[in-house]
Amino acid sequence: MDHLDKLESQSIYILREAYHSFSNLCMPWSMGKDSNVLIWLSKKAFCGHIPYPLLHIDTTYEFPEMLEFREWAVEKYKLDLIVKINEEARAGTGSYTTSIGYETHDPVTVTHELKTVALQQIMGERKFDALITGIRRDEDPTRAKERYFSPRNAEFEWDYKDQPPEFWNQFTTTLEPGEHIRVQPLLDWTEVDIWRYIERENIPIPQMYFARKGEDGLNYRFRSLGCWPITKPVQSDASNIEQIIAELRVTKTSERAGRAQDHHERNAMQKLRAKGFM
Amino acid sequence: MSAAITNSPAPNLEPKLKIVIVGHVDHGKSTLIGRLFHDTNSLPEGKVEQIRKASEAEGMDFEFAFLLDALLEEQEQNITIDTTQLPFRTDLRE
Repeated sequence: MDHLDKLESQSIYILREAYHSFSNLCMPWSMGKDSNVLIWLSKKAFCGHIPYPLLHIDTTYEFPEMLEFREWAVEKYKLDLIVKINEEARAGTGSYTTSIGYETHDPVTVTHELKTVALQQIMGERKFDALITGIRRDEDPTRAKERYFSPRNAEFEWDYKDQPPEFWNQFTTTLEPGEHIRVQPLLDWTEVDIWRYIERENIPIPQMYFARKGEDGLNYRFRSLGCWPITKPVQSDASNIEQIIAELRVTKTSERAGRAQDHHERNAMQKLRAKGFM
Repeated sequence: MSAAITNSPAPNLEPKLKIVIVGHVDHGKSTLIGRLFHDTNSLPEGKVEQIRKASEAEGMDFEFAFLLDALLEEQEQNITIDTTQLPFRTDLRE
């Protein structure tokens, strides 16, 4: 068994354990590269049919190309897709006294309101008991401390000071009312593993990951995709996966360097994630 | 990318090399690992600066352990609360 086979079979094992353990699963899907690997693994795990709905938390600041990809993928994979927008936050109605957006608020506040709170709203409506996420340990130091089955309390909080050990694949599957589990099958994958797997399996992804000429004549590509006002591309000539992998083997830039919410303040990701961000 | 990169040998992905660092509490296990990442040029851009800022905020010179001990509570108390897993690679092995 080679390296990718091991990662794939471990992820499929985690997905099947989750499906066996929970009655109301949901898989958030950002249309990004890791998310599309999760779709691929889910299809392999369940004989081509994904037995849980997908969820796109639409911040209304999505790149148009990503929305096009969303439409294309829903048709292609026959996805059961839920699209959730925190409408009250955008409109400044309900519990909001003002409209929340990048034009007026800092990236940590907007990320929390339009992603985490939107997720809380749909969790309240649909009562999901587990969410399958595509986070990886190598993305961020707090994600590096995560578990495969990571409990969240009714307030969505992550108790990072008291996490289950998960010895011998003993996962947390029991819940109190209102709690849920984050099931994280890609924790052990690195950015390069993801690319090698996308190449091997020929998994469709948005074209924004590949280099294109910018207005200044230089080439740019996105290494990580998020809301357009706070997501910056990196300068790169890599126009295919082989070139991306070669680039990643020498680059000193971190994957999420172009994601403003991570760098807004010291421990920004810890604060976001402790309150329920993925 | 340059030809030198594409022509370098493909790294071995298996088997992994397992290294265990054992030591008494507060004797520098995390610090040693942070130092190994630093001295092998394995840290991404800006990480040293980020650790320097965190160290300054805690009134310390430069705390290599903050690479792994990234939680605020860990840095404030200068302890490891929970494990951290970071990928480490060499030219020949990932």
